[in-house]
Amino acid sequence: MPYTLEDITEVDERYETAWKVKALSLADERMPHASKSPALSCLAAWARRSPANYKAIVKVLRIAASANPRVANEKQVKKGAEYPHIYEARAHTLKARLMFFYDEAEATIICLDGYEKGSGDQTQAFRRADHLRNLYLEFKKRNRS
Amino acid sequence: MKKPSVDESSLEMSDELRAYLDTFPVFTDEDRAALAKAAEKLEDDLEFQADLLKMRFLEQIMQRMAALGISRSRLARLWKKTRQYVSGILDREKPKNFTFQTAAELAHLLGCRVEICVVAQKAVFRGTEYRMLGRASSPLILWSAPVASDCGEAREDFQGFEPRKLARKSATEHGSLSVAA
Repeated sequence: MPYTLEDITEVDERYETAWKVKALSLADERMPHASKSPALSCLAAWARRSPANYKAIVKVLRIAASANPRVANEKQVKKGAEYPHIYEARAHTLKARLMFFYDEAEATIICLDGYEKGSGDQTQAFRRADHLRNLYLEFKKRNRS
Repeated sequence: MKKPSVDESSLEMSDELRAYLDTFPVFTDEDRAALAKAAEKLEDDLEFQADLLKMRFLEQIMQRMAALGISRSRLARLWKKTRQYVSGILDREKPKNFTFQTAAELAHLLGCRVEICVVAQKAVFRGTEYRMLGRASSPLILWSAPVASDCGEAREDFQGFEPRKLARKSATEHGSLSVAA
């Protein structure tokens, strides 16, 4: 399954002074020209039905893009306790969470998936994000060698 | 404690992840266009822009505090304010309004100063100069007028520019926006 990185239009060069911000996209094996991106799908869903959550997450992503080396405010970005490579961008006091990791080699924040607090298992969301991260890094390594 | 990863050297996707991904529809060009439209709307959302500015400023203050090892209590003592006042500024779910005086004081306490630039909407800062988004090769020419901002743009960058109206919000809209982070 090929993995690609897509732009997140909400975070452009104006904000990417420390990190580029991208979303992981996975091509569907049954439809090679179609792809799925849990992170972009979550953003799109929040933009459609929950503007407050959408705006809060975009603000945090813009701050993360310019925060060197990392976002200091834990109310905005929190590191996974059990999966230390995975971070969540938080719509503080709201429900949206967007999971990402820092690809240091490419100076890129890679958004993996989203979830909503109160609906779903947070640990499972972190585990899935960690799995996606490992798959992407392994894919990248194999395609370089 | 770090949990063991599924398998760090395999491209094999777990059944759980595969089943989860199956719940997502294909992300189409229409979806991309809708997201781009939502992003464009943010350019005109001045409440969003103001909150972002405040959050960016506060993030820089927190970065500086972390670098200097200054706690909120110590900052409050240095500032001769209560800890509650400091937390009221740093912690609020929706950033509190504060004056330039407050911003200058906060920065000063941490050995910094605040710089404010007014730039064209699509200006991008590159190292020591501003460039326009999508025009990587041409740095912006500074306005010669001494009253202009020192991060100004060429007059041509404003050609076709139409002043945007400040939308007045109805009471209902304002109420719903007040819950935004």
